[in-house]
Amino acid sequence: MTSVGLEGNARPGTPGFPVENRKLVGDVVFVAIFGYASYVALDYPSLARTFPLCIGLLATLLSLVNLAIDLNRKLSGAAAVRPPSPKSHLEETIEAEMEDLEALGELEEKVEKTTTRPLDIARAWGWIFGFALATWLVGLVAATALFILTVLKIEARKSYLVAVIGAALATAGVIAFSKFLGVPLPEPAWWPF
Amino acid sequence: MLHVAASALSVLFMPDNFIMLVLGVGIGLMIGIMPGLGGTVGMSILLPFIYGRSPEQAIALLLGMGAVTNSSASFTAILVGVPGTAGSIPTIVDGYPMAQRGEAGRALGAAFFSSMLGGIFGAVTLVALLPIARPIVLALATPELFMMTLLGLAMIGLLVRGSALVGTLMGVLGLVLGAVGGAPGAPVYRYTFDWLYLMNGVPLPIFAMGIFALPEIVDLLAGHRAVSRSRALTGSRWQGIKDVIHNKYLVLRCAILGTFCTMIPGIGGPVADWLSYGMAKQTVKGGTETFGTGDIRGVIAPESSANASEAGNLVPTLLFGIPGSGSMAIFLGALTILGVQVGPSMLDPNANLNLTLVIAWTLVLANVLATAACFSLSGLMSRLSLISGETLMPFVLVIVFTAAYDTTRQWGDLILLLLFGVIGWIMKRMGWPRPPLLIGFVLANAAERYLIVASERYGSEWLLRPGVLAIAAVLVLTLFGSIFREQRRLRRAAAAQ
Repeated sequence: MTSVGLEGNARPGTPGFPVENRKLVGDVVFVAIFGYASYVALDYPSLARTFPLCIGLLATLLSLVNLAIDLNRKLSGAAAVRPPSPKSHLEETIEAEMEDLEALGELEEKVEKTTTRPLDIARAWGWIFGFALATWLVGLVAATALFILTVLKIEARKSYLVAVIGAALATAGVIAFSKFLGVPLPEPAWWPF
Repeated sequence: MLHVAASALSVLFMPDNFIMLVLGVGIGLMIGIMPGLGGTVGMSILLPFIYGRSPEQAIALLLGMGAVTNSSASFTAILVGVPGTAGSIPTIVDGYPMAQRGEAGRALGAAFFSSMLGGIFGAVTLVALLPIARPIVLALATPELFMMTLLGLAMIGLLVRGSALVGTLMGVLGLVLGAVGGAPGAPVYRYTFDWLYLMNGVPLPIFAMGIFALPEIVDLLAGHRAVSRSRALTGSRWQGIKDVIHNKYLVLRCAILGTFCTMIPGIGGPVADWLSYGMAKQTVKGGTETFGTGDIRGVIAPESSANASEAGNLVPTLLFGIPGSGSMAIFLGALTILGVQVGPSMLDPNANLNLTLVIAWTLVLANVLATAACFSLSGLMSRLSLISGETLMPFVLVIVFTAAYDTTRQWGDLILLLLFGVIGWIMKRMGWPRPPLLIGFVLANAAERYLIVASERYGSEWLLRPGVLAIAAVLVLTLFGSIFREQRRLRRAAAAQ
């Protein structure tokens, strides 16, 4: 619900995929990426190699440590009995206030509101990739009109009048942006002229 | 100094710059109202529009936007109990009960006015710190600056909720991604996979929008959220202003806390806001009993700290080149794009001191404009929060696509945007922190430059410099200290079992 602050985007657990396995997958991805980056950097001339190699090797080492810790935790089953971390005064304050909010019944309502189904997520990505495809096929101006019209009609369930006005405004905005700032917009990629 | 400050103010009042400031403030107010779209997302969307503009215009646009998102976030926080940004969550605790009691106007008035005072205090502190910071900054050579970069990344990693090591690794991954493209000082292209588009590196606007904006758009589209239910704007806003004046020392204490806390890289505004709230609850008369039930001081405290923290975040960003938050990372990237070298030059009257003062004035003016707009447009702004995600997000997506293509005007922009969008969304779902990744990415160029200059100038002896050793010791202690603490906790848990 909240934005993207340093502590704002942690999402506890993904249904059907245990947290420990999720961590291990992430750890292996880290090792692979940093290992690959270090290996590729070996072929660069010295001036170009120094930075990625230093960083890559350091990160490979740290990611291996991370993998070992998480693997050990999973094998020993410690995570299953892991108690809550010792809380700072700040964390206690935050928790206390969030409990107050929960008591108002608001937090539960918000959590319910923000719970998204996989199908909804797939649809959202479908719209985004569809817009990209339409941009490639017919150019940004026509794609904008088409995209706004269909999303407002189908997803937002607006009337045709509202959808058409929305599409017209957005298209006019894109054209005005291009004209006033002299910025070229994506043309149809297949257009031969 | 005074004549430089006056000159900076006059620059900001030039029509082109002032229009950008008003535009930035307007966009910031709208972004603050929309849950899920915070200052980082807003800056990432606006970043491509700075190309071809002067540094003053870009600063006015970006900082004007970033400085005021917290102000307008109070609308949804107080009226409907939904935080517009992470920083507005503490405001809900007392602001929302006040709205339920029919005192929404009073809470909003106090929130806007204390936000403005906090923001102005932060800007003044930023300027006041310049003479003190100058000798410290000038004492640091490239080896120390390189180590400071790594320390900054490690600290940001440590402060991320969850594993400290994962946070740090994300920052380092950002460094690696920042190394994509042409190598400095050598005719080599790194990690391009023979894709011509990548030879100039990954453009920051594409990276930032992909990692931050697209995942939020997907979640808002998929969430079918009506942002809020309608709530009438009741109560007197002037009463709120009187409350702030009555609690002037609380405002000052919280503004100080917000400014100085956020000078430490990694301590974002939201943490400072909660600290202010907690401090106020513990220290004001009867706070432990009344906070949480609709006490106006519970609104004033976090709001005073919220906008002050923007200025606090700017101190390490401008003086050391170490951004303390995601939005500051984008701002630093914007300055780099425009050819502004942060660090000691930001304090040099013959170099960029004028720009530093433009930044401070932008914070002051943005806060004043935002407060005026919030007071006068309260009704309209409240209605904006009623717009549902699926109605609003298509328009935001069009802006994102247009902005993305404007970056280098190649199809690669859109392809990379989608790729990073998917990566950012996976990271969000998996609970992996995204801000360290962005901060590492922005720091990559400077870190590599520092490393190369240090190696060329000092050879391997730079590793033995006292400053480097001291920073390295702090780095190792903090990083491995967190690992050992985690291990000890697990062992205790096992023993207790």
